[in-house]
Amino acid sequence: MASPTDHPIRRFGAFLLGLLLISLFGIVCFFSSPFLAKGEQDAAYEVNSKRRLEIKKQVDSAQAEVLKDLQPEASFKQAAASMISDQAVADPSAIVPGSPTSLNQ
Amino acid sequence: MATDTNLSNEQDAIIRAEVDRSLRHPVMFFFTSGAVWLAISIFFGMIASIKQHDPDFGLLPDFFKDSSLFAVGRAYAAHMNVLLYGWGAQAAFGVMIWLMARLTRQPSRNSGVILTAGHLWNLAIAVGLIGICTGKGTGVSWMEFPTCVWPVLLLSYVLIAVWSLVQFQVRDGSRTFISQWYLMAAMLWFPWVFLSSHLFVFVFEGHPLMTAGVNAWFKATLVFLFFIPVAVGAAYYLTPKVTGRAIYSYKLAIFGFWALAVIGPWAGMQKLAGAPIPHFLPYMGMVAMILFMIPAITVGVNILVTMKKAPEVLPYSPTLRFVAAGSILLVVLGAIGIALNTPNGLRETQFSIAGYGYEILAIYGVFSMIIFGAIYFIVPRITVREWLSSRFINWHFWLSVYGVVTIVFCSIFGGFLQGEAQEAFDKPWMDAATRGYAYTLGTTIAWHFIFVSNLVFLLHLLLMWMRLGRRSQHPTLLHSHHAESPHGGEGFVDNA
Repeated sequence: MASPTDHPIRRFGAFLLGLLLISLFGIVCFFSSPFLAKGEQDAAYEVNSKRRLEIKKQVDSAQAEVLKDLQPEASFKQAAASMISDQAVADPSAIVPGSPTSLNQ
Repeated sequence: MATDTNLSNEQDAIIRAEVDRSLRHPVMFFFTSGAVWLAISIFFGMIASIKQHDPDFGLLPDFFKDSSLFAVGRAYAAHMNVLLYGWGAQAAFGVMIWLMARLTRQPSRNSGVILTAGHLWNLAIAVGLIGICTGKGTGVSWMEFPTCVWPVLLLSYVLIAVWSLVQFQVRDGSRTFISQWYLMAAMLWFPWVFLSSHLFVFVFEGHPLMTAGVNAWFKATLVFLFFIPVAVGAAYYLTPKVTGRAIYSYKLAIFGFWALAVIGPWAGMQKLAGAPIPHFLPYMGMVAMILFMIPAITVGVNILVTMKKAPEVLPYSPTLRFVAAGSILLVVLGAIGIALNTPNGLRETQFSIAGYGYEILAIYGVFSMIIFGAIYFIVPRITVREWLSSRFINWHFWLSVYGVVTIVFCSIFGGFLQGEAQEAFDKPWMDAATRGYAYTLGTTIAWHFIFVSNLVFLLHLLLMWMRLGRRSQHPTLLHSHHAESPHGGEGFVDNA
């Protein structure tokens, strides 16, 4: 409907105002991000993390050296085989709950 | 209603018809595609819910158990994101652009652009859903679409909403109606919340805790500053329209608007209670969630007392019934917000299923119910056809109400029980994990009800989209006045 306030220039102005209002949020975020979204790490944390990573590297390499000779996979297999082959030792003094022995008591 | 011009009734009817005709295609497109996405979202919701209590998916084919497409993390993310952006946003757009055009008496001159933007929006949602299901989701709650999607959504939104801002500027007459306040605010709040959140989470380098905080703020403000205002704006328009009575208290309506505007932006950080962030942030969020009761009860009282002035209309009008249900659930939302955000309540429910119940109450119980009422009002006017079946409308209403009330009850009650078990440090954790079993099962059953209700709604809407509705001189009512036909005699739809 044609009203006194409805003409192309006012429409175009309203369109631009709408675009500006919406993009204003992004513009504000962009200019405030250096103050709010700080990506840099704390300097003390950085120094300490370097030291800790150095220690970790030393420990890992020392451990790898020791394990290289020991061949842990072979010993795991050996231990598992001996557990399977060993017979369970019967202990008559231990009463299993629900067993006939416990029920007869 | 919104203008102080000197138009005759006949001239006003002609303008309304022009407005409806100009917006037929974009609004029906938003409603119909939104309803399709709602059905898809509920399907994923059912899968995510089933997997919480039955991970082996005993009753369904192995495909659902073994396929990574339906892993619970992906199914849940797909469910929520499609619910919010596929259904919620599109339904809101349809209502917003129609309401603003009607209230400003300005036919749309950019329906083609809006329709194109709507297609772009749907394409982005589809890409986002595929991204989530194939494991490319971001993992940030309610922002799980791959990062290439959100700029497209924002661009589409601008192309949809900016024309309503133009219509508001060039409207005839100086007075505004309360619905326009809510719609204008929602139109400007959405880009603020959406753009700033996505920039700080995905674009700017920031501390991970800040990312978590921004995400928590986004989730609360998307509900309080977009979905709720659109729904409340629609309720304030529909209630006096259908009842023929003025709003109970216009001053109360203005007060409710400003209360929401002041309180809403502070909510969200309560989700990070206990996190290593400044103490005042989660407490601020808790206070805002509690104070939300003020605008909730203001709107609820205003709408329901207005309806009470015309008690003969409520049993018959589908629109009023859905709006009444949504308004009652808005007050319930405010009350549950208090229960979940007292210090004891938050401690117990922070890591439980209660939060999910609150979110579903807000999005389905309040927003969607009122928007369904708006859809039942708007669609006959833009298609010039009446709804085919009052039975379908009844099924849609009652199954939705039963479903959402069951989900909310199970989630909130189950959440408190889970939280109580979590707080019992001397008991095994398994106790807390299994406490929620019955309630997640109840939630699954409720989602099945809602799925059926929305399939009925989608079918009904598709028939209207194909213009297979009845040409009738009075609306499809829930109880018929007429012995021979529920629709009265043949004739043109009254577009008032």
